[in-house]
Amino acid sequence: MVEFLRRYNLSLQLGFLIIALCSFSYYNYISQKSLFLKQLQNDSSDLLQSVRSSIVKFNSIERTLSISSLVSNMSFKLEIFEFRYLDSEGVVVNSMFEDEVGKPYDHPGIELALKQDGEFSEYYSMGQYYVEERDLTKVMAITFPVQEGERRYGIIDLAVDIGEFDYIPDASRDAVMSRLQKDTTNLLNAIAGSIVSRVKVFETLDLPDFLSALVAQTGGTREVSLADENGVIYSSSRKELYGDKESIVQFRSQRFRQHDGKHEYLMMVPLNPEESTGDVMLLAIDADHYVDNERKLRFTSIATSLLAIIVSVTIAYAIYSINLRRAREENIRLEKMVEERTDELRRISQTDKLTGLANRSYLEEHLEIEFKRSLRYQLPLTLAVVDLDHFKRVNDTFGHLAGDAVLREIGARLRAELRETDFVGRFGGEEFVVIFINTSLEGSLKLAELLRRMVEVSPVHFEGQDIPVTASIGVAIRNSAHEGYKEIFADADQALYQAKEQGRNCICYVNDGEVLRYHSKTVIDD
Amino acid sequence: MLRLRPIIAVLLLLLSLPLVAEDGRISAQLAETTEPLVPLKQVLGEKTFNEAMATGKYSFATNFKCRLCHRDFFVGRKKDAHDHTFAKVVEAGHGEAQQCMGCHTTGFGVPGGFESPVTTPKLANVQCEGCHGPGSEHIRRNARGGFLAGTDRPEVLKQMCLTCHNERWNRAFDNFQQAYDSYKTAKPGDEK
Repeated sequence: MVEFLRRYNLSLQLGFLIIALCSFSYYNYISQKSLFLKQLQNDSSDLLQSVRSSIVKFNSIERTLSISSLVSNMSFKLEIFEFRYLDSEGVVVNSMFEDEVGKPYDHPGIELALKQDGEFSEYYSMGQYYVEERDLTKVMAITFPVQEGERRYGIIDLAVDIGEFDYIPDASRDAVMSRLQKDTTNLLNAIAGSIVSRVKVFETLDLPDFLSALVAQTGGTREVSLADENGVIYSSSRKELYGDKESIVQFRSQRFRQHDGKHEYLMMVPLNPEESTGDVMLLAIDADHYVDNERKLRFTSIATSLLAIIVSVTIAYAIYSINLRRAREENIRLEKMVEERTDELRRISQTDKLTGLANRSYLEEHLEIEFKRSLRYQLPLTLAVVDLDHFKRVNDTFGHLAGDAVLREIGARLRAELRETDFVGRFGGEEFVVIFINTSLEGSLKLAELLRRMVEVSPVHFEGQDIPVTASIGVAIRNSAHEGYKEIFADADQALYQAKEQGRNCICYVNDGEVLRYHSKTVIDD
Repeated sequence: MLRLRPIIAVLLLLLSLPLVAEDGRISAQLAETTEPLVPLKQVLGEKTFNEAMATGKYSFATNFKCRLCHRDFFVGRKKDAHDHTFAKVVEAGHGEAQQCMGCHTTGFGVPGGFESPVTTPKLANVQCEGCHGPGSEHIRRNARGGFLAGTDRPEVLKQMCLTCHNERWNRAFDNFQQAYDSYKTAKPGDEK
């Protein structure tokens, strides 16, 4: 688990980052959207209230007219004690006392007036004033028909207080009374005329027209429809919806719909919450703005998420490629190090520690290669074995450190004197071997003589002491009888032995199986 | 019998004393030389009263207006003695006596209040506004309050009662608090 975490650390972090950014973006989208929706709902609810109250008001105006204000506007100086407007069935449509509205008015005069027109009783008669006591107050009342021609719209019940007449002298009472009756009749005629004309106006203006006008007036409303309890639309600002049963299904199940290519927010509420008639109002509100905003919001949030993913992937790729490059560079560096190390090891394995010349094993390896090469190409191959004279004596006299110094010095002199193609190595002890490639025996002997002189020419300095050194050299060249380098070596060794025998500090060589001493004037006939 | 005459005479004299005393109260009231009583002005104090009147907010609506909302109180008070106070004073022959009007009409002495049975017949008798003061502000508010002596200010309202039901005319009640409380309902015991 831990290993997994460590291995995919970066990927996990980036994954979390992407998820976090996407969720943040999504959360932002959701919360903003709900905010927009809430705003839309608030606006809609305001709109709904105003539309609903308009419709309810329209309905109630149609039913009751605004008679109270009509009466108070027209009553001039008359003190109206009671006023009622009853429909032609005797039900109170309008009254000073609100609790009476909607109930039949219980009064003998009205009952009789409904039964028959004209003179229907000695006391109560349609359009005639009578005096009675209402609420312990003496009033003059009248039952007055509101009608035009044959058509009766309703009945007015009006009472005027006449209690104050008690304070008027009997003589003038009748005159005052008749003036009051005249004023009251004028008022009644005015009210009746007004009611008739208003009812006519409302009869010509129907609810659908009103709804269309309402939609046209109320900005933001697209459709107002009224449906009965069975969901059948009976009135609508869109006339084609009359009798439609399908529309309400939409309103029940959806919150948004598209109509004529425009977005609408749907609301369905009881038309009048106070009356349980089951009628509902369907309201479609302009939601273009909301949908537009919502779309922008969605785009922004998706863009943000995508951006987050792109950025994360880019970062991941950048980190990945940086790591890859670093790994590659590291590899190259390691390879180089290994190469150098290998070189070093090879060099160490091939080199004699003391003199820095090739050691015995490398010397023999080289010798074998060169032997084969000279055989293959029929080139001359000469071997010179250089051995320091009385080296044991140097060690004994000057110490082993001095011996080492001598070997080092002589090795350096030999190396310095030779050509690049010549190969020199330390065979062991105080014995050096030089390989001359593609060089004649005479040339090789001249070079060997040069080497002998270089050893002899000056003593080796060691800690303020001069150590005189000389060397004996044995030289042999490959001939057709040789089958391996060891045989040449054996010849050279034999020549060296001879050189030692002949007094040291000289060169002997093998030519055609014969060991000879070399002198610088010697001319060798190859 | 002859011996009884003086006793009868004395008895008759004694029996007639309350009538003399009654007349004495009326004549004493009529003989007052001070300004006629205006209960609202007396209770509020002249300064507060004048300030309130100067606002122009207060005018009398008559109990017909009160009836539109407080119909039960209207009917209840119709049966109450307060609604017959002006008839009483007319019966007694003092229908035009300024010294009586303060307690027998609604708003006498207050701008827009009772003046005479001819010009302001609807403010005769002690109506709702007779005790509570002008009701126009209350009607405008269409809510509790708005009276100069409303039920929200019981101390002022009690003083309104006591300006008329004073030492001279105190026979109307024996226990003030009981009587006051009884007027909190629409029908205060059907008194005449």
